[in-house]
Amino acid sequence: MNNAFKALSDPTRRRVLELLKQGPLSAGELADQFKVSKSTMSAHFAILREAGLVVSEKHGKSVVYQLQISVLEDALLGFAKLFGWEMSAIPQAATAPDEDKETET
Amino acid sequence: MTLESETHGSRISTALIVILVIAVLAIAAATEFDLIAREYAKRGVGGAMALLLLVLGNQMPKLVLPVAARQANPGPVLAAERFSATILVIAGLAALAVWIWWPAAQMMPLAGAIVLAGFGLAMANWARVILTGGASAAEASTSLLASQPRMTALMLLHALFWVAVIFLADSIWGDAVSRWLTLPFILLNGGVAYLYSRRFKRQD
Repeated sequence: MNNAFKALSDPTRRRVLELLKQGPLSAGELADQFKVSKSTMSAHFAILREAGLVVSEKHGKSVVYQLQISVLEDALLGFAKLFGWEMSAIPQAATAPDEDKETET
Repeated sequence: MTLESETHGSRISTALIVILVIAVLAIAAATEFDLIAREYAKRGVGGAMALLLLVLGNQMPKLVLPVAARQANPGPVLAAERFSATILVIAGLAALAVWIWWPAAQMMPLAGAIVLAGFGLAMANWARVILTGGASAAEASTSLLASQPRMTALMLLHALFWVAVIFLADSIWGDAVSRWLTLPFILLNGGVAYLYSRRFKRQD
């Protein structure tokens, strides 16, 4: 649950979750919605995956993300949006997993 | 491709479901030996059922399907899934509150009615999505049946639906009716099991 709180504390990650509510999206499609570097996005994706809020699938050269949030986590996302939780800064790009750097397009 | 959530949360939920089922059996046994007053036994069993509904409803959206199993535009089905799961969680919470705090005389019909209303709303929501063209019936059934964890959750939800029917019928018409109600439960559960076996035979 601690991982979920950490993941929900960042507005970019919350926005990623909101976008995924419409349906699965590739890492590239998601990254296009933000003005941050690919490696920073990879770090965000890694945190969301680690918290179990998204799952990823490899489709050819791209990675497709899907939402995987429980009703409770969805409610927490709503609260976080409402009250604008921001607890921690995103780890630097160096912490992004290698697989994201190689495969996400 | 296995995508079904093998997360920490889903393992905790599975363990909780097993504990709840064991708790219900223990309460039933304790009542037989007069170790627990009937009212507390009813509250315990009813509360465990409500908690089971809450946990299952909460966990349903976590049982993710592979992208390939989804239609091209899965948005309406995903929204329907989330709405139905939220309704079941709310129904579970409300029923749990009734089993804990409501006076003994009305707790059984009220909790049964709340759970049935929850299932009714969830089903009406799926019907609305299908009738308004958000998804075809095939896509909706794929959403519910396309993975083994989802199918298992569906069978448990189906059992909880009949528990609520029996609670309500027992309060209104007495024990005799509730005994008869086990028959449609067994028949329909057989139907669900048949769908399950057909679905996965086709996939093998």
